Amino acid sequence: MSDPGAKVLLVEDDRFLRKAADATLRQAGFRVVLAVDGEEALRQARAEHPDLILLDVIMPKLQGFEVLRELKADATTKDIPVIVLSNLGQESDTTRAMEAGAVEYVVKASLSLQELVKKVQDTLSKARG
Amino acid sequence: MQAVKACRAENDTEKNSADGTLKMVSKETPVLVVDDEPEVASLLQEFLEERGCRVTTAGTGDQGRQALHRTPFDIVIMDLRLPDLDGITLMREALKIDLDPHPDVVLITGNATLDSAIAALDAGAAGYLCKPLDLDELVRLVDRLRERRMLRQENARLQAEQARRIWEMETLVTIGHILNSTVAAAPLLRDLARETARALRAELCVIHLAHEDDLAPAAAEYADGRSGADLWQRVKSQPPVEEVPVYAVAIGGQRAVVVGDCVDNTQVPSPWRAALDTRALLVVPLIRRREVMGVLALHDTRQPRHWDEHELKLATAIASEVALAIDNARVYDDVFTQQACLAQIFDSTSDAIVLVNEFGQIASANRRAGELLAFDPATIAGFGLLDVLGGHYPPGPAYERAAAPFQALLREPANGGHGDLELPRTRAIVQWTAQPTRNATGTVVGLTLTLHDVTREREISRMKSDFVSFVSHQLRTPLAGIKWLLELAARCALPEDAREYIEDSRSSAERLSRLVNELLDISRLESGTLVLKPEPTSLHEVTRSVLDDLRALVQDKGHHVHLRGVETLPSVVVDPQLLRQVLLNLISNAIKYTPPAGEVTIRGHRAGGMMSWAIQDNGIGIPKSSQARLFEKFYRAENAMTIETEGTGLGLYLVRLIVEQWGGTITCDSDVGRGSIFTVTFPTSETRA
Repeated sequence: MSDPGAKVLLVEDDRFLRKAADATLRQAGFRVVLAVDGEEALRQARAEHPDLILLDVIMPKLQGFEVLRELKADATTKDIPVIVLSNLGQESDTTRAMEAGAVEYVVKASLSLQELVKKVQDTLSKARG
Repeated sequence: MQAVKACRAENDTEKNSADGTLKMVSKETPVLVVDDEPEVASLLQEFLEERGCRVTTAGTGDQGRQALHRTPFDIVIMDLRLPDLDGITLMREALKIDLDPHPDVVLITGNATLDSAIAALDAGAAGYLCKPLDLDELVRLVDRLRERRMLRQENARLQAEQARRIWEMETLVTIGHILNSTVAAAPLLRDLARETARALRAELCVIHLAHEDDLAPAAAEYADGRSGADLWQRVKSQPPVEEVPVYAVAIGGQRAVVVGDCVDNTQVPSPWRAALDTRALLVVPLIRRREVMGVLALHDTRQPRHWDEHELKLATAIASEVALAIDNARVYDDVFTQQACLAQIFDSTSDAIVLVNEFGQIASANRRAGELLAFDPATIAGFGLLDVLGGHYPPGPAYERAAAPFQALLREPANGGHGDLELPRTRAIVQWTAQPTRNATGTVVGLTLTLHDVTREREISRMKSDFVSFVSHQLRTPLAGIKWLLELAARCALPEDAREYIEDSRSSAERLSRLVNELLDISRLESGTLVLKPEPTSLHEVTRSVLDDLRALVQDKGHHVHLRGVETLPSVVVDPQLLRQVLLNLISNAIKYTPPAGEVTIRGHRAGGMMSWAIQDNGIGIPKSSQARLFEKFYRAENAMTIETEGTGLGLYLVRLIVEQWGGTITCDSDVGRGSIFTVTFPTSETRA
């Protein structure tokens, strides 16, 4: 619980993944805001000003890469660190995410929840400097 | 042919005189002595006959004149003062007689005055003697004249010989011109037949060529240029020449055979002779590399003929030229056939081939090149390669990018090159390879460009890549859900048995996750879509981390794991994830396929730019029969099932793909019951990091 109270926007269309990640992050002391598609993600990001965004790639309505591009183009959201959560894992996708401004790209199936929490904590402490 | 005719005419006269010369040398010198004093005449006769002369005497000018007209003399010795005739007059008559060379005239003068001597010499005398005769002087004079005549005659003979040789050479040159002017066999042979008949003054010439076991007529021509059509028909109607004895002798003996008169000659049977009405015949075999390629025959119909030695030699020389020409024509024919064959191969190959000269112009291109590059291969020659490429792109960066490697190649063609190229106009993607074209001396004279169409392969590869991305998302998303929810469940307060079930479920989910990852890695390695991420990596740390992951497994089995040399390995530039995959697979195999309390030794070694990694166990080993197929996809060793049923047969295949991707090798050395050593070797560069 190195950063209690930090607000994390979790963007995930799969309800089981969303449920598991949400529960784990709350247990770890984070405040969690949820979004189930790209459009909701942008809305929530602008309304809630989260400290960090966990962003899925393949989603209805607006794909993750599009969301990322818009977040980085918007002055109010461009400084929020974004961790891309994907199951694609292809080199081209990783490169695309990093070029678009993501701080991290992770493959969900290869990551435990414990590791996910650690990545969030590390990213937040890095962002604080 | 004018030169030859002129030369021949000259040759005829020269030859006659040459023949005369030959007689002279072998016989006594004919001498005529004309003197009205019988004592002087008989003295000279006796004296000269003792010295190898045949002497005729005449007592008067008139007798002398008659003798001169009767037989030729080499030397005439005459008195200047004859009773009936002036000596000078007789001498002039002697010199007018149509003889070549003229006789040498020696005048005898009684009252020796300088004037009369000069007058005699002016009139053409070869010398003069004074009375009283000095016999020694006479001998000297006659000897000198005989010697001079002999020299003159020898000279004439040599000139004749030279003229004959020039004629022969000119004949051969004429024939050589014909040989060089065309290589198409039929017209060539007709010209040769006609010129050979002319050169050897025969009426007609017939050439037969060997064809398998037979001699078939190939050409028949008259020397005078008459149409040979009728002659040709008659030659074709003749019985086979192999059955004519004179031909058989010429072929069997590989030499020219002459029949001066064919009438009643068993060498030339009548039925055969009748077709051309042959009277005199010269048959010369055409020999090349000791093989009879055919026969050349010269026919005369009018009268018997004597062939002299020179004519036979010339005929043989011509025959050898003709044989050479036929051989060349055949070689040409073979080359032509080969070229046609190569052209067909060139056009039917599925790869495009473009030959570019040193100026960057297309010299030749095959059918496929036309299809891929969108041009007509028949009219492309001479166009610039870059211009043809330019037809596929609008001017600008796309063209610059496509053309750049070819511009570099045209500047520096010696090393060749290869690459990929997209051709928008034909929507093709090609892999191109350029090789320098060298001439016979090894100088680079252009480029040979081969284009291999990979459009379909690239499409399949892209589809495969799309499939991989589909599978990874669709399989991994529920898998991640299972893993995460089980992880959450494991943290709940649960009865012991439920906790155990959940842990087992997590193990299964992990295994499924690894399997999906392996499948994806293999798919990417196979399709070439896996991008390597080499970075400075500590080999020791990777090994340690792999062993940490496997610690539970090692403890379960009670193995001892030894590291040898791994601690001292430097950092190298390598993709750490793939290296991890390699080590994880090999070490976990060693652990799994070794009975409890076994020994696993990991050795690292670096030599030159090569890294070598050996993982040794004292486990069940691998049967020799399985070793060859060990690195195949889905293959599992025969004895592997007895120990571990979970294996997929993908692990070692994946390791092989990764190591080969690095340009390295993997080998296995194993004995059943004694254990295995897997050795991975790959090139790498060291880093200070």
